[in-house]
Amino acid sequence: MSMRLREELEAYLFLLPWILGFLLFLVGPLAASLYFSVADYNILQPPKLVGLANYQTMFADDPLFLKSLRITAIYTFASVPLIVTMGYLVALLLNQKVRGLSVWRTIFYLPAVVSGVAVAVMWVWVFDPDGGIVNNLLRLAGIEGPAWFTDPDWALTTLILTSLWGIGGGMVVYLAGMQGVPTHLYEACELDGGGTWNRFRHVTLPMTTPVIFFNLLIGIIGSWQVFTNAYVITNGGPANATLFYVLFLYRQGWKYHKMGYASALAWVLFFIILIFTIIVFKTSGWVYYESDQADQST
Amino acid sequence: MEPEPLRIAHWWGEAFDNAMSAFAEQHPQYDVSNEPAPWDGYHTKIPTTVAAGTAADVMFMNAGQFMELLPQGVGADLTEYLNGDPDIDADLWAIEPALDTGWEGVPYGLPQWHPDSANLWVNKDLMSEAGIETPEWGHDDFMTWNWDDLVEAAVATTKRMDDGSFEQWGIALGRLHSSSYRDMVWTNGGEFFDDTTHERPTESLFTEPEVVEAFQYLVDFELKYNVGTRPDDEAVIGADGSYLSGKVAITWNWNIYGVMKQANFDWGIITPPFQERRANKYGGNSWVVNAASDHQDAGYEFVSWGATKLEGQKQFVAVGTVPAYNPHGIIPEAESEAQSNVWKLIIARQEAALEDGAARAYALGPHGTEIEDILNAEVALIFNGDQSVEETMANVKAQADALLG
Repeated sequence: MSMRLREELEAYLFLLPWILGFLLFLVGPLAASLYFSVADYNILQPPKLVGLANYQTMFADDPLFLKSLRITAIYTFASVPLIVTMGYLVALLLNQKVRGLSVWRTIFYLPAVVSGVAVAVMWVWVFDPDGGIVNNLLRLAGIEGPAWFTDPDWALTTLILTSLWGIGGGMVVYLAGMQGVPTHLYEACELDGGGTWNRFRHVTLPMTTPVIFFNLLIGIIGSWQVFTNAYVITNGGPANATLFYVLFLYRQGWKYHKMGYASALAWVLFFIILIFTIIVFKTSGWVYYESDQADQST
Repeated sequence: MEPEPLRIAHWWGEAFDNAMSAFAEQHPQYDVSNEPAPWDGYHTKIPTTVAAGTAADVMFMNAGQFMELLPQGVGADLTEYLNGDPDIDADLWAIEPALDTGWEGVPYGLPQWHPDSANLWVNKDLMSEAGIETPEWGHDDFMTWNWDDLVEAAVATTKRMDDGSFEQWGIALGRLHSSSYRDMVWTNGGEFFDDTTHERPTESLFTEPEVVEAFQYLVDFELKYNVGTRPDDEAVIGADGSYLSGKVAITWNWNIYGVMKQANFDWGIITPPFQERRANKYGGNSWVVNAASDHQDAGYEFVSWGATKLEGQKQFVAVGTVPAYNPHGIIPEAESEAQSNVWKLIIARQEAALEDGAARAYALGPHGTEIEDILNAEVALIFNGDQSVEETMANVKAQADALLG
């Protein structure tokens, strides 16, 4: 056996656990889900092929499918820009040289590691119409607050507001990006007479566009898969006002045992996320990659 | 000889620990494995474990699960066990198992608890203060006090502050307790489906006048009389909590006798109000022996012990309600007169409903879970002022019929 062949075999041997896991736990379920999506399958009886009937039902006969799509799209378009912007602004603040910086960073990051269910329960208390802190503060200002989660007209907005709780995760990535900006660029800017705004506008912002791009993409993908808060706090209500797509999918599969339909919904979601991802990549001309510049200069 | 393994699944957590230990102690021939799971997980655990062939030998199920799972062959047919059990007198069931936990006349399980325990829990202090007599068990009208009486009581017990906000509520319905609309529809002479067993409905009857009238009656507590708690009032503490606060005169709930021990007021229990006929539900929590189990005899022994033997019933009655089998037999075991009166009312109500031919399945058919979700979502729009009861019921009917078709 040649050395090269032996090395290749060893490489595959070391890769084998991952390959097996990939095949068993990713490719296998993916293929099964694709098969179930064209079948009538209730878990307890063998799947029965029905062609594209599940997809047809979805688009032609199920008003809740379109409603859940609309709700999730609204959430995505409202919460992602909010989270991306707020996370970036907080990161900018925490990138300053101030006393107790590490403590502040920890405090802002802490929410990202708290259990989603515990946080959801906390929001129920915070937005309680009668005794919640938000409405009590509004009352102090002479404003009678809405019923938040229990009002169909406000429930989705309230969930969008609660999404800001998660800015800590993105903030850490922004901070890492900001810390990685070479100091000589700031020095050059200062030598050219650039002040704080110019340092931000011409150095920090362009140099951190890759992490903004990353957080934007992850944010969009995550927002289409929102589940916990909608499940724990509102359970899709009131009047289906917070019936997010994944909650709708979950209900079809695990509550009504329509696994075939749920699988079809999952594939549609996959394509929606794929389309959004492609759009984000296609419109990513604003992202500055230092390596690209280096390639062009050689 | 090695003890025979026996796995028992339920969602009641530690509440069943004593019962499991007692059974294991009395039956050393079995190696009992207690397998509780939280309700949310349990709902998905049963079908997935059944599909995987790893389900427990005995599974506790609620009415919704019977309708969804029993037609799929999940439960073992207990007919022969029941016919061959010398300790069981078929006449002593509150509702025969084939109806309560069966499918098309075949008993697939034994009900642990009495078919229905949802009634009205009353703060008698607030009722007395308003000059309203509480028609408890033993009262002349305890079974026939009517719709108007409940409205009168709820209105009389509601108090407001000067600014119009509530100081005290007449009734907490949890907006629309799942038991409340069933009771009101049936007592009003209405039905949900063209099949009263709910097993094979082909059409829903949500737009029938009796059904619309019943829903209108319930939402009027909030929209017309303005005497009911709103979701805002219950968002954090729930209907139980608002009732326990002592600021609600009447609430609609399952058997909360255990919770009532915390009440710092004089409480009582009354039946839902009467209209055309006395009505009630069946389909309580029941034990089902896994059709694929290798230990079905052992499974039946546990099931019959819990559901029909006094020593088993005593273990479960502590956390639930009066047993479905020979319910009168448990009365002397009540820990207090209050508990005894709760049990007597539950039993009397079911007997009256059977007499009037208006005992119906709790589950709203094989698509019951989905239909309830549709109903809840549509009804929320009534409270929000977006649609009338008639429009709501027409929407529910259209969606329900699409599922049934």
